[in-house]
Amino acid sequence: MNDVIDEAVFTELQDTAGAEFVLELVGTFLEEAPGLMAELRAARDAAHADNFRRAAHSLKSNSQTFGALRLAAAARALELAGLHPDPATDRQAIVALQAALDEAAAALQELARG
Amino acid sequence: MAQLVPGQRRDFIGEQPVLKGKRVLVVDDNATNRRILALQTAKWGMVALTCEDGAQALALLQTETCELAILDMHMPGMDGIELAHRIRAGGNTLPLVLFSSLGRREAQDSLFAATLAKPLRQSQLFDTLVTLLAQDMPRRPAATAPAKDGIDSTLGQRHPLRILLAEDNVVNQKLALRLLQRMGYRADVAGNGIEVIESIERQPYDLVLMDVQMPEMDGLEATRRITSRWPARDRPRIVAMTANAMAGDREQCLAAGMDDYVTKPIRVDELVAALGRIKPRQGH
Repeated sequence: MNDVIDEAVFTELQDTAGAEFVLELVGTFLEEAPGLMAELRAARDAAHADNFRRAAHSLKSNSQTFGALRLAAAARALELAGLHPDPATDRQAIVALQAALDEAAAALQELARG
Repeated sequence: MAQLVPGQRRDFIGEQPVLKGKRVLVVDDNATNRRILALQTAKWGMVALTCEDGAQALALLQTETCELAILDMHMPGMDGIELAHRIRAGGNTLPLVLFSSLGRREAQDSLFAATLAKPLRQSQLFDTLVTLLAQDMPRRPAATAPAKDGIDSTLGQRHPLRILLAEDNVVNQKLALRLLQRMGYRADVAGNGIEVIESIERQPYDLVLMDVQMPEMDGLEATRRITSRWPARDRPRIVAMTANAMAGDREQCLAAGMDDYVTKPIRVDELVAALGRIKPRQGH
């Protein structure tokens, strides 16, 4: 048990949706995630609060589906906080979020392949 | 004539592993429609075989194997429904998709696995093909009651519902369609509130599973518009799906006029309970 992936959540997903389907769904998530990260960065650069929250929300929602705890927590924090008055603070948070995503991606691929 | 409306905020560019190499038969008397469907499915890596009428299609199916067929409804001579009956009469069990400006009300549900509305949305085409072709197991015989995962695959037969899934997030969309499929349901998909309202105008639904956070028009606004426009007995039930576990979220959804609420990630037992509370509407 680690805090990257909650394996109980992941296993339950495999049980209800089917392991092969979950492998495909992980693939979909990993295809979508770079776009969401790009939306988040673009929203930060444009100071677009709604888009910022929505991109963070989507990342949170998807990571919760797979039990990616650390990633979900980082995305949720950004969703709840919204744009920070100091862009540098958000940019740091986005770097941390990207690291959490990379870590979750590796763990999910390994778990999904079984 | 069909035109392909780009999917909202999503692009489905390039080969799709789930679709790659799958053979799809397109039967339509309209050359533009055939071309659009052939080009789009080819971009996803599929092999499209096209026919301009039912007779050609029946002849082709004698010699070629296809994984799926898209049949235009209105064709001179043999229409899409008659063609579907004749394909079945020939013993072919491939999934059939009806392509029609009127949607599914033209055909009995058992004949077609899905319907594609005109104008054709790229997102709808994609979702339909993926849902029908991504099954990771051979299709189950009609009545296999509770599987080992505890999902009752006969629910859709025993408690049939016309469902519209309103969700812009592709992961959530695929998962929801998958869980519904395992319960014996299929659903149409809308990517934002505007598409939801267009879909409800087009055909009757018993249930809208409504994501709250969608671009263009969110689920709360769409719900307000639906409830102000249609009386309760003439509109689908609306069940919110939200990943916000914040206090007050449920109240906000109910205040907007939603009938019920499930949290995301979607849990099968919660979904079963919510579906069980919906009564199918009569007629339109």
